Amino acid sequence: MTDTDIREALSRATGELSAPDDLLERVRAGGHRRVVRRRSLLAAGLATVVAGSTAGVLLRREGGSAPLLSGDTRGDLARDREYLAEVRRVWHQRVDPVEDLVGEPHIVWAGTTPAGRVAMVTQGVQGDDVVYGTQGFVEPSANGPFIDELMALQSDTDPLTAILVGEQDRSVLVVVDTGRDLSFSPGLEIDRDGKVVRGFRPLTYADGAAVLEVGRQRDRVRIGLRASDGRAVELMNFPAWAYRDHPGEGQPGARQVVLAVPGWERGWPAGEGARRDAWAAWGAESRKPFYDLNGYHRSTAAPDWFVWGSTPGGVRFRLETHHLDEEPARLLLTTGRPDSDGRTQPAGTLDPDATLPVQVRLPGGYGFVIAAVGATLRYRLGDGGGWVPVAGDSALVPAAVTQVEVTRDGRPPKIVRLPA
Amino acid sequence: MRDGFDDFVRSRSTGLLRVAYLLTGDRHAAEDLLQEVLEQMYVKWRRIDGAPEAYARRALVNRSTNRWRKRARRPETPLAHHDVAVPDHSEGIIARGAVVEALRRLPPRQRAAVVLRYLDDLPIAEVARALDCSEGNVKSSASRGLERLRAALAPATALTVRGKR
Repeated sequence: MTDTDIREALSRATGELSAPDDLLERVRAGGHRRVVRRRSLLAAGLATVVAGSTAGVLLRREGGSAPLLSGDTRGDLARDREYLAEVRRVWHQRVDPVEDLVGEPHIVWAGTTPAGRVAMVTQGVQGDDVVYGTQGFVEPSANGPFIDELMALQSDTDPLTAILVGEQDRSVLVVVDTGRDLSFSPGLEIDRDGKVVRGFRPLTYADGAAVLEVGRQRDRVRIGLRASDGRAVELMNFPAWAYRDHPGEGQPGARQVVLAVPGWERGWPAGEGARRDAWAAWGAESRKPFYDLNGYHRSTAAPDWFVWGSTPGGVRFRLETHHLDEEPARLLLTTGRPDSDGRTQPAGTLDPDATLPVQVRLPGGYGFVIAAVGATLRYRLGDGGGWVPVAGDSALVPAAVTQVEVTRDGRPPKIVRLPA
Repeated sequence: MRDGFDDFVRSRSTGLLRVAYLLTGDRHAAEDLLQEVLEQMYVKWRRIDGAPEAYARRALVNRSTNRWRKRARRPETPLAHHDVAVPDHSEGIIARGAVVEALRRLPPRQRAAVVLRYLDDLPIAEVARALDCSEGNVKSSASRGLERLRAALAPATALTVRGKR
């Protein structure tokens, strides 16, 4: 491939993309909200901006109680000058050159853990009218202390206060106390119905942080954290370190298989925007129990599959794969009338290398959804029946179908028997 | 108050979205990332004197790795699902996926160097500014990235062509 070929490939890959029509509106609203919310914090006496200095600047979530850009350092190493100096040195080496940093870094917490010494650091960043912040954790490694990722600290987003440390096994959880009530879950199970089950207990802090030995999490993170309102709590540096262990993974959505089963128009809106909204919202509540919303998982290199359509009578069906790390992709099937909330149930697993990866029986006798990307499909009822061709590589076929013939790339056809 | 900001977003957001897409490999992550960077620019627009696009590129590159976290936890929605109204459109999506997948396998700096150099056609000096490194490093990163991309894309392109016949 020549340089021109590469340019063309990159250009082709992005040629269909255009910025959303409402981007400017959203940016202005978002940027304005950030400015206003910071100003409102200032007006409420929670924060004071002194240009060029972090003196007195507090950046807190509404309702929170702990300052993140100033205040006393907590933890058993809070007075260890040698370590604190090392933390500052590491911070200065790592901070983002794009940002206009203000004042000096603030060490929120510095402590000893079973995995070594850890510190959480923040520093103000100058905007036009306001100061916001950036944050990171200094964690131990065989090559000395280092900061993996830096994240923005803003008044309208949660700070990242939790991290799994210990290079070899990621077996120590550190959660710095910023005034949030959090709950901890040691692991998860999938119940008989395919739903994710977790038990939680309140997290208790001592001297500014909770430090828990949680067992090896490096290969697969099983712990979970939950805020008091049920929301997820992000882990600092995850999944960055996990993807270093699995370089072929990451960036979910990089490859997706999206198949609209012919006849979908009977159950889904014709307009692009309405269809996109319906796709995201319809049945979303019923799918939630199948997701591990308070856990941490890598996305595998396997493609995500989305197969959707409608029965002749207008009943929607929507299939999607859901991965939990390296486990086989679970298929979730949502069905129902467009004006219903939709009902979700597990529909087995999907093997993308199978002859017929999708062969899902719809409830209510509506038939089978079948799909095999790029294949020519035919089906028949009974061993002696005639073959009926399918237009495209996905279809909703009658419930009485017993066999599907799959032909791919000119190779001899293969017969797949559908489950009785 | 923020003269020129609206014009900048209107005129440059599609180009920046394309860069963001190749850096993140995901349409929705790219839109989120771009919106986040533009919101940040809105807040400090007066301080970004004279070179907003260069600032935006640097910010996109610096923040793109952090975007993985958001997508890793959130259940997926299909990439441009409105595109799939035409039944055979899935081939196009996979072809695009092959390019993005090949880019994904590059180390972040090589990926950024290739995207800025070959999608945005930026001079070496500007790529160096965006990556905050020397021009020599850019040449080296772009060259290695290109080599790996060629190796990864050649068979994928061939498959795509066969699939369309």
